[in-house]
Amino acid sequence: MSEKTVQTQPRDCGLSRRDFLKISAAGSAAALLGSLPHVQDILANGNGDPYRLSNPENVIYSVCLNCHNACPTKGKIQDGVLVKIEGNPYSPQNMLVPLAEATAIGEAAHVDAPLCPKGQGGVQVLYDPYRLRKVLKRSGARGENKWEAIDFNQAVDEIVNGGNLFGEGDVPGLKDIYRLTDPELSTELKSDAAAVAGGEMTLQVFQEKHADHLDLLVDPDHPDLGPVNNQFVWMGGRMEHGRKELGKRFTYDSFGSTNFYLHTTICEQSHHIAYAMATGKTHMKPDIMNSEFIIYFGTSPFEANFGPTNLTQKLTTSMVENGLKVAVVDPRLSKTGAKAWKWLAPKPGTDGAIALGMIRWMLENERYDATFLAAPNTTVANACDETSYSNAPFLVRLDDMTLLKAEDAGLEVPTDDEGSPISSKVVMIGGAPAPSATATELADLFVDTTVNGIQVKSGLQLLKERAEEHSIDAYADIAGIRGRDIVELADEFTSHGKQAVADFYRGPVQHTNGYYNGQAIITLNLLVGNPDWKGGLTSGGSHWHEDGSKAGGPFAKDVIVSAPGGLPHWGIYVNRERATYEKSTLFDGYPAKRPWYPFTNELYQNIIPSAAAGYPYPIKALVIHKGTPVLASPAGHAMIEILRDPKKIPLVIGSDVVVGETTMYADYIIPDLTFMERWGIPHVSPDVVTQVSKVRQPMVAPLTETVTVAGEEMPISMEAFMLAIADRLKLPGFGKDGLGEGFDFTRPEQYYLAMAANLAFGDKEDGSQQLPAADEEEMRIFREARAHLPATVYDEDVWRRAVPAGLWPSVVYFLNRGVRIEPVDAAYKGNKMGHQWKGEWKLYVEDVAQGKHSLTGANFDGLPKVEPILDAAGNRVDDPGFDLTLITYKEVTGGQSRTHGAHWLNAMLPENFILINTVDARRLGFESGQRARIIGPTLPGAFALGDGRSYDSVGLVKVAEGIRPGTIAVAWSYGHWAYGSNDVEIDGQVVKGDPRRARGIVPNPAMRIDPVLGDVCLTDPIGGSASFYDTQVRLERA
Amino acid sequence: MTQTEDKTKAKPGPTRRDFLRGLVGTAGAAAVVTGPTRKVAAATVPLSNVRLAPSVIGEGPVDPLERMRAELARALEKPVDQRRWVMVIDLRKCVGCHSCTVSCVAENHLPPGVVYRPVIEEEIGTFPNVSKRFLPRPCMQCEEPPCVDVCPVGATWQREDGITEIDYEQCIGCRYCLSACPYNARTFDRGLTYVEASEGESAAMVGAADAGTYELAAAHEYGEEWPRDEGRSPVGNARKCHFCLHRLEKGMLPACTTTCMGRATYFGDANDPDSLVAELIASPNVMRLKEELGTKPRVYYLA
Amino acid sequence: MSTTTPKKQLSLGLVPWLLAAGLFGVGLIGLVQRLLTGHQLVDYGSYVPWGIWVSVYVYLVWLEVGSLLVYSTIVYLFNWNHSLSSIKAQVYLAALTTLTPALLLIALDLGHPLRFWKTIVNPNFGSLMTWMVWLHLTYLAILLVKLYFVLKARQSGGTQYKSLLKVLALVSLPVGLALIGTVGGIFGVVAARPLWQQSVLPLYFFISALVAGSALVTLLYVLFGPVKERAEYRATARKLGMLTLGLLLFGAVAAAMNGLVTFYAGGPARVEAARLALFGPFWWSFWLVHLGLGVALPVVLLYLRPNAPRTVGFAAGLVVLTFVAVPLNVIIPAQLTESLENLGEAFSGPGLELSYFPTIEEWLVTAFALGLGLGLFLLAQHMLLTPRATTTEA
Ligand SMILES: Nc1nc2c(c(=O)[nH]1)N[C@H]1C(S)=C(S)[C@@H](COP(=O)(O)OP(=O)(O)OC[C@H]3O[C@@H](n4cnc5c(=O)[nH]c(N)nc54)[C@H](O)[C@@H]3O)O[C@H]1N2
Ligand SMILES: Nc1nc2c(c(=O)[nH]1)N[C@H]1C(S)=C(S)[C@@H](COP(=O)(O)OP(=O)(O)OC[C@H]3O[C@@H](n4cnc5c(=O)[nH]c(N)nc54)[C@H](O)[C@@H]3O)O[C@H]1N2
Ligand code: SF4
Ligand code: SF4
Ligand code: SF4
Ligand code: SF4
Ligand code: SF4
Ligand SMILES: [Mo]
Repeated sequence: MSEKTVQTQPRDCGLSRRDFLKISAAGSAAALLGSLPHVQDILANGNGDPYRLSNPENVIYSVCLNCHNACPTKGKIQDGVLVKIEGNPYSPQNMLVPLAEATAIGEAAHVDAPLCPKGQGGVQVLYDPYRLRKVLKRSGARGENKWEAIDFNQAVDEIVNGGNLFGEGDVPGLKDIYRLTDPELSTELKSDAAAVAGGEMTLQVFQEKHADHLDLLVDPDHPDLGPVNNQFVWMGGRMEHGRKELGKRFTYDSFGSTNFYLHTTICEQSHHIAYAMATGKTHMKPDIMNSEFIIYFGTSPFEANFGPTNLTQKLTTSMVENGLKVAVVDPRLSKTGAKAWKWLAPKPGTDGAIALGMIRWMLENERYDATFLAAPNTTVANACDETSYSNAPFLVRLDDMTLLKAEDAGLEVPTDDEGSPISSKVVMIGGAPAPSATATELADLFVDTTVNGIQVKSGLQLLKERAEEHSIDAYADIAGIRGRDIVELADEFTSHGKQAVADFYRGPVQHTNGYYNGQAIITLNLLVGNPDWKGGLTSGGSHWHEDGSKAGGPFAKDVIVSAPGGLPHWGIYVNRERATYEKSTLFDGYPAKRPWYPFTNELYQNIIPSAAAGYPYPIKALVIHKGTPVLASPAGHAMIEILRDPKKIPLVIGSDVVVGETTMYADYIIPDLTFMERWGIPHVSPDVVTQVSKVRQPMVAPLTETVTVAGEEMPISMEAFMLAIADRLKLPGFGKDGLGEGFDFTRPEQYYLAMAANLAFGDKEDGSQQLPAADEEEMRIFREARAHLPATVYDEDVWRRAVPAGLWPSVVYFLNRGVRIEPVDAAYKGNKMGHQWKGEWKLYVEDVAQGKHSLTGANFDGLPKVEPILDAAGNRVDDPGFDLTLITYKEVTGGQSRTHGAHWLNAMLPENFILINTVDARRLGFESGQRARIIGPTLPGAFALGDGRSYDSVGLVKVAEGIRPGTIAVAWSYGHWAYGSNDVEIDGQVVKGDPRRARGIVPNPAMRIDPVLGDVCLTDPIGGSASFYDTQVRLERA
Repeated sequence: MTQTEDKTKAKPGPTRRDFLRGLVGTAGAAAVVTGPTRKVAAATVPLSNVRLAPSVIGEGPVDPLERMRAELARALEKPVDQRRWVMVIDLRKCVGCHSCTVSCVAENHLPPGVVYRPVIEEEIGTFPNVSKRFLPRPCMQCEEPPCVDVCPVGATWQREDGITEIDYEQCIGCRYCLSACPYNARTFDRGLTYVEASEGESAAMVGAADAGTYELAAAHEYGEEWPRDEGRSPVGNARKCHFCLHRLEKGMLPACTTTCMGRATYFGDANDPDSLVAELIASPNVMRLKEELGTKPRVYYLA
Repeated sequence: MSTTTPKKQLSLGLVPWLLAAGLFGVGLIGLVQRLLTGHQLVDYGSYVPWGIWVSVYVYLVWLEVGSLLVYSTIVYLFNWNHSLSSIKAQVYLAALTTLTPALLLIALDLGHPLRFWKTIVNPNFGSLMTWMVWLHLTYLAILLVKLYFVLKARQSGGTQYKSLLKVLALVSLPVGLALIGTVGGIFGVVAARPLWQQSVLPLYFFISALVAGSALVTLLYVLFGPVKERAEYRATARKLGMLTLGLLLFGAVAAAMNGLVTFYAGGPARVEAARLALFGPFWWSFWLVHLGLGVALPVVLLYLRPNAPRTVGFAAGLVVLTFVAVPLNVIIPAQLTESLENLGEAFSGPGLELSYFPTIEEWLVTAFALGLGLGLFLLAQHMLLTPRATTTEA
């Protein structure tokens, strides 16, 4: 056994410890120059300068959003035109070693940093001929693609006031939904409704007490559904920080609706939920530069994940310079798989089996970090040179599957210094029960006993038993791989001490069993005890707090996150997320009418179907912003029928940059600004181990129409739309003093500058973290770099007035760099990460174990397990006659469905394909270059789009070796039927589509509709993830 | 601004080469002598201002990109004929992301059908033992460039620092050099734009005319401004990678090098024994493409 | 054997005129397109830099130089003087009028046609293309001078420039040879294209020029030779037919040998290119047009009916017409192989495909050029030579 083999020999806690580390900084061993003077200052402003783009006056830093990774960017602007986007050299997300923050911006202008191809394609997303300038209102039936361009303010008036807008009868306006406007009344109703739901107040008493206000409720018989305001739903796709806070503030606090959503369940939500349940953090990553071994389950850091720009350079550097080994588990040979030491191609949906097989081997062969696992609390953990501990040794009662509490174990409940009791669980130490909170020694790991008459087992014991349910060969069988693959993987994983990490993203989790798969993989990390270790698992360097959550900042949380004078938001979510069936007044035994999702949020795919089904309640107005549920969700096309029927959802407003696949079914489309023309304060991937905050800011003049909103001129955008509605309805949190005393909220930039001011100020109450002030030269460059921006987006006075007086020069300093960062030496503290998670890891997830499946009434499991693909009623999904499993993935050149107008990117792959293994191709008689139709169990053929066209899932076949036989893979980002690919009629005139944008195939319609629900895809009942990789299909010659 | 009037071009071929040598050799004087052409810009970089590595070594790690930038500055201090630009591409690090391809397209405003640095993908093996190989292919800047000799008008020649340059105003667009390049590194600018194939037009939309401005904006190849217009060079010309000469002259690394998110691309002066590229090309796993043709590429691959 | 004896000058009536007018007229659309849209609507580009225009250029050069080579050789070196000299003017005219479309096509093929002069002013004599331009222009000059004196001689009806013409003819021989060799060399020196890079390529171009040239001379003779002198006419036509047949067979055998060598001993890339030539997308042009109509049928006809001038003329005409497939088959397939495997899939865009088929514009411009050439010939023949069509030299 090598030095770094993980083993159960307890470590000599607090004394000598093995040096796990091989330190190698940034791949370049040589010490180099730290700064290089900017060689071109003399030439910089000369006429006929042959390369103006190296001048800081031609640069504005911003942040990409062609995928959610939000890389800091450097826009190069030539005569007011954005000609190129590079990576920001100050950013640790783009550089292995970023420029020091103090580096002069003139010098930084000469340094371009890495950036993924999609980010660079932003230029063509900005300058897209099909981008909307004006508001469109439908002039035909929904989805008919007939529009008229109308005045922005007219559109806002119509949306607010409603009426017979389309000649189809009366449509409720927002004023008819924004009904409960009194915060106090709302608070009272909220608490009484909770009392009714909790059984503490009868419905009758409630209705009598609030007889005057029952009309303000969605359903007076079910007050827990909340106010009528909830019938306004904001369905956001990709909204990053900045806009996300604003969106919630608008929907929750200003409008008083509880229905604000993002798209995370069609993204990777079960990954987040699995992590959050175990660690409280939704996302952790390997410290790649110092890892020795990483397993990537169902994710390709070279192509996707979070994200290619930062992950790739660290991985390749670490692999080549530091000898990092990588294994990839993916049915498809990704580019990461191509570089891996080992590529395993399992059957889709079986990652849990692989991980459990590894767990079994690790437990059987004593290849786990026993010391780490045995620490019952922080104190003991710290003594053992750990930052964290887990509940692995905690005792679980077998009668109700809760964690045994100290009081139930007959132990004295421990108290803190002040004598108040500490809630404590129980561990065994040398065979005797002890309160976990105050134990001072390592606990027993495997416990199967009775305490105080209660049968208990330790979490680790339960895991061991769970893992032993199948033999390693049986696990391998489930996954369709060899037993020795599992053993090899486990052996390697436990041969690198704490410098081994199991990472995963969508592949294992976008299944009906996604949560369990995720939990199984996470548990691998727990067993080697890698959290917070250099080269181990990290929660990242994180960011400063723009949201006002730190004391002393210029703008407090209650003006940024909440709206001053705003409403409480409450009631059951229209998609039944974060809601427990049993605790609602809708409880009516099992099965529930449709599933409830107590453990997840941002549940996306079922919003529209739920609203249409009226369960829990129907809605009246829906805003679809920067998301395309119809295209991006599995079987999202089933929503077309619903959206086309104005009776189901009377008012649908799209906020989009083009006429999109979903917004084509809207009543109005409000043009939005692209990420290159607007603001944002996105957060950073935990892969970045030093602290960084970033600012997205307008780089060029906006392309949408300029309008006047309450006296202020601005381009049409999501913010302009909110400001206009707020103006009409007099919503709290906007207008004069909308951002607190002396700070109006009448223009979009005011909100984001307030956030920027918080960041420039820093997280320290005493102001000690405030950024330096921009000097005269920096001020000059700041102005000159923005000289091409019109006053509708940049007016120095307006900007300056948006932040407290003394802070403006620091804000400029921040804007001039696009990021604020900490020095690279903050990355590590000895053998640990500089920024630590320091938490309790829940091997046994008590909360989930206590939750019930709303259709079967059965409890969920607190441990990972192998589960087949199940429908909403918990029945196995099996589709005989469909012989291929359909999976999907992202090309490195595809940014969701948003980049198909970026021709630079499409040049690499103008059309995607149906990837099929040679064996299957031979069996089915397909050759590369032929066309095939995907037939799914719920997709018999082409479906109607509603404008006279239909969509047929036909694509180009590509025969290859790098895909598991029995599986076909289709890349995302192609196969548009709107988005500039088709003809639309505006003001009676046909605008021709661009056929290049229609190329390729989108696999999502072929994905299975849940047989129980009939209108939405299969879904993970715990994590809420939509199932992307579980559908059996067949191919037909086309 | 555009510089059509200024294009007082030196004679192509040997004459021009001599001209260049003369200029760059004597930096200060040249500025006085020849007015605002690009050669002068290259030569007047205030190289004495560039503080080089050892004098300003900072504590702690430095990004390899910054190391190479420092080495670039150091090389610019030398006369042009003492520089030997080379590129090293570590195939173990190349992940086939095409960032370099796109960056090059954007940097040089390449129209449809023109590409300087495609990345070639290949699948190798049979399931389950499969791999993929990625091969970025810039111009090899051959030491013995077959493309140069064939040009009937001497519009393309090898500079003393090793870069094979094309004079867009001299090139007649015969495409003989395209045929002659064994690496297909040259492509022909047929005068297309990406946006023009989009026909959509409505007052409610941005439209092709407004959307296309970025494509018409002047490119900066060879340190001159090249606005895009019908019939105007580089439309109708042979085009190829030039190691981003216009950036080098500004002390900046080539665009494909800085953008490479696999950190697979290295650039520098092989004549500088302390440079990163000099270190790398001494690796045992170094190779060049089609060595058998005797072209002696200045692009090295690490396998 | 032909039983009908030609009584008068063979005449194709209006057919050639209509053909020329048709090609010219339809082709004009292509020309206008080319002038308005530059190179946006063509299919050649980057990976296949040279398409049908370059190929037809080579074909026309073969005809132009080959016909004169053959003619001068047999007239001045082998002294078949007598009846052949009657078509001297037509031969020179034909050469000149093939040169016009040749130069037009090559100019239109350039990215910057208006910079053509740079090849004169800033020549790079390290490039065979420069030599080609210079040789071609020299050749053109010689031709013009020759034609001038031929016409002058015709006008005066005398034979006074005979020796001058002979000298010119003898001078033009090496220039023509060099031109053909250079055109072949342009391709032959390209190491990057394995199918081209062979030292024998100039030789092939030379043989091809001879075949095409002799066929053209034969055709011209059958059309414009001294019909009245029946026996002489028939004998000369037969001789020319045999010459063409011989050259054709020689060329075919040489090509076949080379093909075998390529397939057995060539590197993989070269074999692939050769395979593409024979079995690639242009298989039909090789097998049907070139081998079928351009070799097999003429060989059979010439072998079976050598004494029938019409048949000989027809066979020669077939060779002349179908020979256009030969440079196409040499030039295009060699460009269809990837210099680096999978390059064609790495980045897509117009001109970055490893396939080539002329676009409508390319066909139209080709048609225009050929129509122009034919039209010029007919016009010149009509205006300059017709009045004297019946006169023969002593
Ligand atoms: N290029 C690009 N990068 C992006 C984005 C983008 O749009 N484009 N978007 C960002 C966003 S929002 C996200 S959520 C991330 C997603 O990042 P990833 O999760 O890395 O990306 P996907 O391609 O969706 O990953 C799915 C992978 O899982 C594999 N797979 C499918 N089924 C299974 C299975 O059952 N088991 C296993 N082990 N693997 C399976 C697929 O073949 C594919 O390689 O990417 C981010 N980065
Ligand atoms: N087959 C398949 N499907 C997938 C995936 C996959 O890997 N394969 N990945 C999934 C993942 S990880 C995710 S996160 C989701 C993403 O799915 P979505 O959140 O729906 O994101 P996009 O697909 O990019 O759709 C965004 C839509 O918003 C509009 N839009 C673009 N830019 C802007 C803007 O700046 N402002 C406004 N207002 N609108 C804009 C465009 O019309 C576009 O159609 O897709 C999922 N769907
Ligand atoms: S990884 Fe995502 S955010 Fe970063 S540059 Fe690429 S597309 Fe933009
Ligand atoms: S790679 Fe091609 S274009 Fe570049 S120098 Fe060599 S021969 Fe010339
Ligand atoms: S295309 Fe231009 S550079 Fe190339 S050989 Fe012809 S003239 Fe020279
Ligand atoms: S060096 Fe410059 S021109 Fe050459 S491939 Fe790289 S980016 Fe393109
Ligand atoms: S950017 Fe770098 S890693 Fe990506 S394809 Fe180019 S060379 Fe390879
Ligand atoms: Mo996502």
